[in-house]
Amino acid sequence: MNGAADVAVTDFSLSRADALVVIRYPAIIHADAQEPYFHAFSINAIGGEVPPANRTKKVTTRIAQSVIAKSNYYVMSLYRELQRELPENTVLLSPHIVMWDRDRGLYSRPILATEQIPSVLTVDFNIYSYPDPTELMDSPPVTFGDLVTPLITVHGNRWLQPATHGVILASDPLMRSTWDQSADAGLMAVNSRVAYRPAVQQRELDFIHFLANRNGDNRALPRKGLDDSRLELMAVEQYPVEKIRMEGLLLENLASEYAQDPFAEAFVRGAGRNIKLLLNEVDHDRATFFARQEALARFDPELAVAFLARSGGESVRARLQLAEALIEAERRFLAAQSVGLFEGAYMGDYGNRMREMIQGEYRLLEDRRDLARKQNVTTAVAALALAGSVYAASASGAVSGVAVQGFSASLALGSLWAMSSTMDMRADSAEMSENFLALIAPALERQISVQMEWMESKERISALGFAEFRNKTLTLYQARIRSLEGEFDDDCAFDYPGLRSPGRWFGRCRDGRAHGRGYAVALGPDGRAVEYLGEAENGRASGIGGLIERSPGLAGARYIEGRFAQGVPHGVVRLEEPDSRPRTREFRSGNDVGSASAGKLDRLAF
Amino acid sequence: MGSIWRNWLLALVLWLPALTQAGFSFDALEDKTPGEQYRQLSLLMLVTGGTDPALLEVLQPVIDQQASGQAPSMELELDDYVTPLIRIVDREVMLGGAADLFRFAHENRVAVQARMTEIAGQNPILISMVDVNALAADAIIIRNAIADAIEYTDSIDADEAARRLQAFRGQTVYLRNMMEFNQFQEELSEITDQAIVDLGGRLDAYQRMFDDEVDEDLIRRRIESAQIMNNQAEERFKGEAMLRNAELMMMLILMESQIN
Repeated sequence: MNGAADVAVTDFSLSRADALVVIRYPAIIHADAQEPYFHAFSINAIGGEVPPANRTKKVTTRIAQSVIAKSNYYVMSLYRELQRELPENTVLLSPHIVMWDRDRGLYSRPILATEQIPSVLTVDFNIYSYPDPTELMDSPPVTFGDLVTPLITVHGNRWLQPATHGVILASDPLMRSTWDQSADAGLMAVNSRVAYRPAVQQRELDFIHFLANRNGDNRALPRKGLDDSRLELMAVEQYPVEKIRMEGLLLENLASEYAQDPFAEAFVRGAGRNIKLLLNEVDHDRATFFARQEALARFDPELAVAFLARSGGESVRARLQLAEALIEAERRFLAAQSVGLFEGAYMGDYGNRMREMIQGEYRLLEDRRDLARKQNVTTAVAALALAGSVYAASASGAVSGVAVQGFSASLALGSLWAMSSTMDMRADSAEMSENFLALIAPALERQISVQMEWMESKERISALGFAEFRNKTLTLYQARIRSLEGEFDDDCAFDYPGLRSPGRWFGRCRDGRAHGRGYAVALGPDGRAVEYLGEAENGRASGIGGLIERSPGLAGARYIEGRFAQGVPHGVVRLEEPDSRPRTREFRSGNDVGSASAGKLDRLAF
Repeated sequence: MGSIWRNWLLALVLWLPALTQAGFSFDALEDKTPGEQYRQLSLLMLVTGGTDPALLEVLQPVIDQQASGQAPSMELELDDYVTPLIRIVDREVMLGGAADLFRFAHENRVAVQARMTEIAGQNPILISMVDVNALAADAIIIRNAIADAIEYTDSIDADEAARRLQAFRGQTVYLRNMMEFNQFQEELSEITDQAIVDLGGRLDAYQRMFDDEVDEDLIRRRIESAQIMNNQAEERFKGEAMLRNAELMMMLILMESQIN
């Protein structure tokens, strides 16, 4: 990713509630999930196939552990870069815990409430290392010493880019994982609204979903290379799996001199620049509209329906102002939590240990490179083999083994992983998320006794956490709101021609039918699904609106925005379809009659 | 509660002609303290802000009556309004004063705002203590009193008058909502700030458990910081004064942008 030029981000959105970027990453693992995770990691390797005999080796589990431990560290570089460049409190961290249960299998869930805040973009980030160091491949993905293999996906709400279900960019192996999750989330949103059920499923990490569900069908998805992005194709940018090599000079004394971040120099700055460019290109209000609506629905369902109607009345405006201030306050609080995570995992003891380890790995690797050159072996293989020997030694306790003699930092990985495995004891308890910051931050060895020491401390330490904070702010909100003027229904009839089954309308109605502004969902017996946001008359789309149509045979969705009449496009519309550039077309009674000028297009205001 | 409210309303309604009896002017304000000048100018802008200039047409019958000498005299002394009852009964006097206020505000809007900014710049500590919400609350009561009085006025065009009056009332509701939002935002910020401090405090306290040594440098720096902050107090008040002024201006701008 090119990071040559600096980019300034300008946020023209109307809402003050939304975050710009949420960064999700695997942070810890529940005890029950360790074995399933190790197993999934070894059988779903990226870059090759691990022979069955090697899948259960200790070294493989050590490498699987290193992926989590190092992701915790390297993700902070991305966070710091974006946080430094974007407006205050608009970049949030969402650490996940990896879980397992009989029904769902391996999955992850967020530890903090970060993902309840509407965000323009969501970035999934982790690093990766090939599980089997004995497998001699040409170029195995590895994260060791000065080599880092990042895996990244960038996605947003489906309305951000309907043709790709909101998926913008994905590392090649994670493409199907992120696509499926986004597609499922969109369909689930429609299904739950049709059935009038709250949508409850929390999206797991794309990487964990990949590990748990790799063997999917071989569908063609709309993709484009990184260099094709300017063509405005409605396709997912494909980011290749590549080892990033960090500047050796910056790693020589990383443990003591880390003002200049080697990973930022090698990768993060470029990735951050692309994310900022993207933030400048997309419509923030459109990207966060439904996430804001869902956030409102959590504490004010009546306002949430009025919001869908995009009502301009003063009573709605005033109440929405209060509600958005509430979400903004939650965002501020969660941003403070993110800063705490950063300080712990990067600036604190965890970061120090990790830097010691990376520095030690780098020095060993440099020695091995010399040897590899003499033996005419590729340096990539040398790196992988060395990682294997280090992890194998630390796994067996034989840190005085030949390969890693004098490398005390190899113990650090064991220590860091021990943190995860001891923390999992609390993973299901309510206090888990509250204590997470302190647990992950300082003095890892003593984290078990944290709670006890707090209780005994003479310091006045409030136990205030997010739940208590939310209770207080909600109480304030409920005491201050006034009644809404106007009638907004959540169950009026909506008819989409050709779908053969009635839909549900949320918004203004007349005689039980959609009439005015609002939002509709409809599902056909053939599996087609339709979402419409805009104006309606007599139960049908009529006026300015935007419509997403999904068909079972289509990879992606079709998006039409502009003028509608009698339920179908009628007038100038913008058409977005997978693998195509957006087009401005003229429609008559639902039929495309030719191209049209973009200047005549009436856009939907979110 | 109801009697307090009534007395407060009557007191404010009484105060209005005091503001207008000799015609509102900058000269008339000169004798007053800067704080009082700022308060009256702010109130004037909030009472008249966001109104359609055509609202004066609704008051035209009252203006005509005054011009023809049929209306009660405008040259009343403040003492004439001591009795709340008189003030309420004399609706024409109040509306005449309102017409004068609206006319002055529309003609001198830029000058009034410039004067307010000038006062805020010259008296930062004083203006930093202005309670914008209290001013807005006063303005809402006066606006409602004016609107209620207009309801009983013979208008040149009843339909048009009703529409303009409705717009005026709509602006008052908007002002009320802004005032309530400001209060909400203040309380919300307080809760949020405290929660964030507690969050950091927990981590700090945790860190201190592992660090028994007193950091004398840190303490010294904190003392020095406190001194610097004290020295900068004047600057800070100036900033707050401008903030209050900006808050008022923002209210006015928002009201102006909401016309109809």
